[in-house]
Amino acid sequence: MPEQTAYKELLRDYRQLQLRVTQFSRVEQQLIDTKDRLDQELLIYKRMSEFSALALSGTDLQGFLDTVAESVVGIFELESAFILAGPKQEDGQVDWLVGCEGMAVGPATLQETLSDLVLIDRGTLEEPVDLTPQEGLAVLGTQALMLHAHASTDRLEMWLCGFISKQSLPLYPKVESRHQTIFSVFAHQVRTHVANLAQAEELSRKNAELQKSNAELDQFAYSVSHDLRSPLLAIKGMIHLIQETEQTSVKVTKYLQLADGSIERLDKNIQEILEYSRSTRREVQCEPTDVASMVTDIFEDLQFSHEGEVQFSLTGPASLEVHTDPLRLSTVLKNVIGNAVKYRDPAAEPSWVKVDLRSDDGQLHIQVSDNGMGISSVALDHVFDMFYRGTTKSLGMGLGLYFCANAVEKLGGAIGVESEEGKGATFTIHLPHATPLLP
Amino acid sequence: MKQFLLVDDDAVMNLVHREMIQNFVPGSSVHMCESCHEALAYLQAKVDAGTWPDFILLDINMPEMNGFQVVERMEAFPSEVLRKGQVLMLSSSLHPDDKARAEASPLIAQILSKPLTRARLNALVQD
Repeated sequence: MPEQTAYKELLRDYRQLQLRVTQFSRVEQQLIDTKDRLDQELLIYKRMSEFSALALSGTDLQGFLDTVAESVVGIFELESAFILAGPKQEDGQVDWLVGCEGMAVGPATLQETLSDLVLIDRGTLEEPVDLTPQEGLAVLGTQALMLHAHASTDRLEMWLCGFISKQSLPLYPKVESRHQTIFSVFAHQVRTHVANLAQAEELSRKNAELQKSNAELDQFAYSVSHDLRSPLLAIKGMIHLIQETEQTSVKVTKYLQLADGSIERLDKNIQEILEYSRSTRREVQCEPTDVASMVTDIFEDLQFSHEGEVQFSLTGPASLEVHTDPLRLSTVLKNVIGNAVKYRDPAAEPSWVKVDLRSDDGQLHIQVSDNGMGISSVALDHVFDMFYRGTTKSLGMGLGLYFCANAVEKLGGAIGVESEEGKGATFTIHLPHATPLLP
Repeated sequence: MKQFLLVDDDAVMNLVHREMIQNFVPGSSVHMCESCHEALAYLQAKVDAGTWPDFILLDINMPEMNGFQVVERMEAFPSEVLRKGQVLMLSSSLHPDDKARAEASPLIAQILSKPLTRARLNALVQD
């Protein structure tokens, strides 16, 4: 029957068409599912990238933790999440966890690996118990399993948590394998960031400690030098008193001179130690400084420091201001001018110290010359070396000119010397008008 | 006659300075105190008696109170009395802060390093 055949063919076509429609709608559904999944993935990665950007921007710890909590909410589709933070306890307990609404929070034992499972008893604050995944799943019921990622530094401890359950609970979303990957990336970033933050905190704490101990060391050096010098100066005063007021035999006069010389050396040593301790630790602190009046002050201080006459003279501008560290510069000038007085030639009539100040091309040139004993050619190359003492007449430990070279360098300048034995010495210091910031 | 007040907790230093002054400032009188409280009480008695030392030599580092704190207490005395004499700080330390502090105080005439030398004393009295 032609009609029957036609009908059968039509029916077959219809069924094929129906099948194709079903196939198409299945494909359509698959496509929709894939699109949804991709959308979800996209959202997760978008949140991850926002999170990473924030983690890298270096916010404060609390702000950072809040953002982590927000990200946890987004990724695991939680109602809310929070992070409690606190320092690592001595017994290895931590006071901070990432949690979510409905989850019990309490101190947790430390876990070293990413995917350890910890049992949380829902609704209680009891301590979590370590379980294998199998054991954990076996006891599911009113309890849920918490998957945690662990980030730890020396001082801080952080856990990120997810949840595993057999059935989908509204507050305990299933953790899928892709979540675990995200978790581990997340944990890595958190770990790095927490470590960075902790390091920064540590650094600023150490810096504060260092500043404090520097100040204490300064005070200590000051007290020690004062306590050592006080009795020494009393002895020195006593010797001067005897020298000035008593008639002593030639022998006793000689002994007193020797005693005085020994005291002078010891005193110089103490001063150098103090100077060393101060100058090595103190930062360069610059301010407008009048070099001419600084030199005049030093002349004044040195006026009564020695026996016999020394003529001081200053040439150059009456006032010459530079931007430098006044304490360092005055230490340098005191040392160099003081040396000129100390190593004066007893045979010279009279002894003189001349300071000349000159300024050009943004540079200050200070020349200190004298008609003293001078420096031998052997010693000349070493006068700025640490612990070098040019002559047996040297007082101190051979640190004075070493400090000077050191200080001038810190001020961005240079120091040099020209001398011949028996013909005086000339020290030249070149300084920039403004001390540059050295690294 | 020049009147001196020496304030130093170091008895040997006080003795040295007293002897130097008596030997090289003819006709001088020296009163010594080994504590700040003693010195302030002495100065109060001086104010009450209408006199004042020509030179007050104050050590900086002393127990209980340092020399600068003594100067602060002295500011309570009438300024016409304070003008009659000079306050000189004696220092065995090398602290630049001490020098700056001495220079900043209107009451302190000078800061001198210990021990006082004959030349320094002569310069002081001649001024």
